[in-house]
Amino acid sequence: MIRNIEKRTVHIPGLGKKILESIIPVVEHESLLGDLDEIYISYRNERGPVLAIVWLWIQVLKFFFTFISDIIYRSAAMLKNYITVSIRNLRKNKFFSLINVTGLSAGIASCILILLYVQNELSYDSFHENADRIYRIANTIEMPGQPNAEMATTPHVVGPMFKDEFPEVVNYTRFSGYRSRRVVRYEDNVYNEGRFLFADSSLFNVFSFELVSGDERTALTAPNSVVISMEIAEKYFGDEEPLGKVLTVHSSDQFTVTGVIRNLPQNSYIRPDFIGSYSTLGLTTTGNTAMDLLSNMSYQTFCLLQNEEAEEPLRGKLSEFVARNMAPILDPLGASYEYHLQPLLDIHLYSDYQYELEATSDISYVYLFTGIGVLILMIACLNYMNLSTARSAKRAKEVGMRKVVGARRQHLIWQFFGESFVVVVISVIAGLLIVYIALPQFNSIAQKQLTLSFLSNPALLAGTAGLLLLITFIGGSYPALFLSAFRPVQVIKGVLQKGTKGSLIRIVLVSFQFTVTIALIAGTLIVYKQLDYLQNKRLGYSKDQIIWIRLRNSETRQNYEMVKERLLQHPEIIKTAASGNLPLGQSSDTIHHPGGKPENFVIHTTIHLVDEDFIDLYEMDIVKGRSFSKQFRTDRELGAIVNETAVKMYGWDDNPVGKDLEYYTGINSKNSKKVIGVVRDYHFRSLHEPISPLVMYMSMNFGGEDLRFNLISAKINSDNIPEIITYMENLWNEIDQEYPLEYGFVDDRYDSLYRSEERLGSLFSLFTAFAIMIGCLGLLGLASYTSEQRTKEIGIRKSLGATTPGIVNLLIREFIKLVIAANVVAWPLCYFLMKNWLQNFAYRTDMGIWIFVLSAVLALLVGLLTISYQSIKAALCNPVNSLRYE
Amino acid sequence: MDYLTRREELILLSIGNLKENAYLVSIREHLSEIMGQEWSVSTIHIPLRRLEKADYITSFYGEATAVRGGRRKKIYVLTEKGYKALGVNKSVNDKLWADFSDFEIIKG
Repeated sequence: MIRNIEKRTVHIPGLGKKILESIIPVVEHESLLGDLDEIYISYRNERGPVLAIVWLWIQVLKFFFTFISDIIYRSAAMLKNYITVSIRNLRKNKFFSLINVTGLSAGIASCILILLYVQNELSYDSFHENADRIYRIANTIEMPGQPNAEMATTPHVVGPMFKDEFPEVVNYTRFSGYRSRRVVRYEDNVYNEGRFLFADSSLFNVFSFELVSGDERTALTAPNSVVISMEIAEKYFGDEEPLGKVLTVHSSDQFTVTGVIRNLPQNSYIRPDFIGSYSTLGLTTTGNTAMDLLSNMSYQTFCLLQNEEAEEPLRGKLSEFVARNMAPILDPLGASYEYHLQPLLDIHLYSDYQYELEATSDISYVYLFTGIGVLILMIACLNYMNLSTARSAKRAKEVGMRKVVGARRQHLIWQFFGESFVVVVISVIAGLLIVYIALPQFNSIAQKQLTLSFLSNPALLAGTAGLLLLITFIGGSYPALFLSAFRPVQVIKGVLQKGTKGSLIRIVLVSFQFTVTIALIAGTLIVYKQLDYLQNKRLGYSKDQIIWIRLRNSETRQNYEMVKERLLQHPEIIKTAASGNLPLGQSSDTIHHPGGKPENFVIHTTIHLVDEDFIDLYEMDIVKGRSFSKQFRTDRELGAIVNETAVKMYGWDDNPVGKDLEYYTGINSKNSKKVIGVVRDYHFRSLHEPISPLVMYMSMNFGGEDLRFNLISAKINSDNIPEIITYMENLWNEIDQEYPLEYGFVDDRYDSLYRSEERLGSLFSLFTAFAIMIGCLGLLGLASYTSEQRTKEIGIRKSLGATTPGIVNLLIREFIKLVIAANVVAWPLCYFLMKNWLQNFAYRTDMGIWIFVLSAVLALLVGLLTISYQSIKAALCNPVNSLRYE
Repeated sequence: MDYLTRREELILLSIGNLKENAYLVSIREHLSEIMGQEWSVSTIHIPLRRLEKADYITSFYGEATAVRGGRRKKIYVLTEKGYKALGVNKSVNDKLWADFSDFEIIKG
């Protein structure tokens, strides 16, 4: 009989049977497979084997779907159970839950902020449809004996020439830089506008600037047309139709509004308010190709390539282009020249040339902040793990009981993950709330317009969901895997009560937290120290209490002496000086030929155009010879003062005073000056760059044009600045009816140079604060756990005569050991990273050992404060209470 | 008490009709015969599982036969709760049908 049955068991094909067996609950195997067998056999008899097989597979498939929906249903039910249990547990341990949630939510909040920040940094310009085909042409000029000039701007002929010569270049568009501010007027609305540039009409074909009104084919073709942003349209015209309106620029130039573009996002490298038509500039060429390709280098050229693959072949052709077209000028000078093809998408993070349209960022900051985010997240997760393991002794009994009543290990693993999930969900919600509240503040620090919008930002949604799962997994993994492995017998006997296995891990976790904390504190201190150094470094000139005003029209420029006199009539204005530039900021430069050197020895030198009071007003030191003076009437025409670096670079080993100095005013024309003095080196550029050669002239001719003083500096001796400004405004209204007064403070200008470092400093300290806070929370939890664990020990010690300080010492000693161990790792790590960062500066502060000591002491102090409350409380406790049982 | 779905009602009725011989195959055949269309195994199996869990039916194992590869049948019978549920269903149906005046039109 049995044999008979065995023979006939193989009715359903093997694979189908296997699948069914794996998806159907074991208890149903017998009946259900039997049922299927029965029907299968009757089908085979009635309709033949083929149809029967087909039928069977359809059944298998249907069971499969049923099985899946069944799993979802069942796991949802289990999840519900886990969540209930977790919430009960959270309620039972309010203190620990609070610490966990606060720590995690702070960690999550900083991670989301960093995510938004990094995402924004990486998203620059990607909104342009052709973004991956747009390249900017940048260039480097290398002259013998001087630093390379690396510029983001090229001559205006480069775009058209590239398009003609290279089939890879489909289109191009050029931008003039923002240059100086422009006064724009429409009826009664007058504003001083800084974001005014000129662009080719091809702008709309290359970039994705969206015109909301106007025709993109004609908007920028006619001279004196201007396209404005919606914001500007509203500012000047309110509700009126902007198209066809005429804006007056600088009181005489008339621009007709021919289009309105949608406001550009903050993550755009090109962000003009006004775009004038390129034809307005009326640029011409000399006909001499080499000359055209090397002069008037002040336009940003963007090329649209055929496709992404066109980049390599184009790159290959560039050096040949240089050799063919520019040799006549480059070769005699021994100079070399190179074009760079920069992808638009790389400009914001990788480009750092002179004359960028907007201050660019650096990819290393993206890495830095991502790193900090990961560290903070790790600290937060570790806290959670740490606290859960620390309390494992308490949970161990529960685990034991669950096992006794039949829970399998996987059930417990799921339970702990479920618990972790609940905590993390609550923390994510709290974290998002923190982000929501803190975002405006964060935006103003980071100079961004970040928003917390899940709908328009799938990456944010994915990131948050990812964080949720990651933290649930990492945070829950240790308790889940460690606690679930307990053997019920041992646990209930009390073998694992102490949770000894966890203590080593706790030590490692706490040391790690302190390593990160100390490194972050030290990093913040170094950033601030460098900023402070930059602010206070001896610049070689005084920058305090000086107001500059700009002379705008030729009349005031002609009469600058009168303006100086009038300003001095105010009792609080003690000195005035006229110049073509400030000690820091835009200035002209050209090739110089020092006297007594071979004809082809030339050096690119910065020129400062100053009057005889400038050096005195800025308190610059004359180290040799004399300063400009009214008494020497030839000074204006011939006098030159050079800086120490120039003397060195020119190779004037003997006394430079009295030497001849020639500067090129055009490609073949030179002017001659005589050196009358040497000024001590002063920093006329950012401290990122070393000091380069500089000359000071009282007058100069460039390209056939006499350059004039257009700035007046006024040294004031008062804190009553508003009163002085009012005086200046009144004076200004008298002498210039055309332009409003434009003024500023010299030290402001200096500060703005280091804004990105300052931003870094603020963000750094913000995240450091987060990290410290999270670390302390963890410590607090741990300290209260340890003192709770050792209540009895403390009670016994006290009853045997231990003093309160002695017990506090006992509780704190271990912790101090950990902090000291953390220093061993934190110091070299931080030293290495910050040394790298400081390399960005030509002039940098030193990282004294005291910074590291201070950070360690700070971390220790904060940590001690955190744990001392718990420890002292435990030490003060009456032993009667702790030793009494029931 | 929850109302039964149409499919649950049909299955419960079949179990009642089949008396002691109600197992998956016979229920399926019974229904297919009456309704003139084939039912897949899982469309019966899943409601059976649910009905059993909700105590409308109970089950025991019957004899093993050779045609089933030596496996036993799982035979279902109605519980008291099952009978009650069917009764409620019927009375609701009856009331609704009694008031349904266009019945003749459908028949015709």
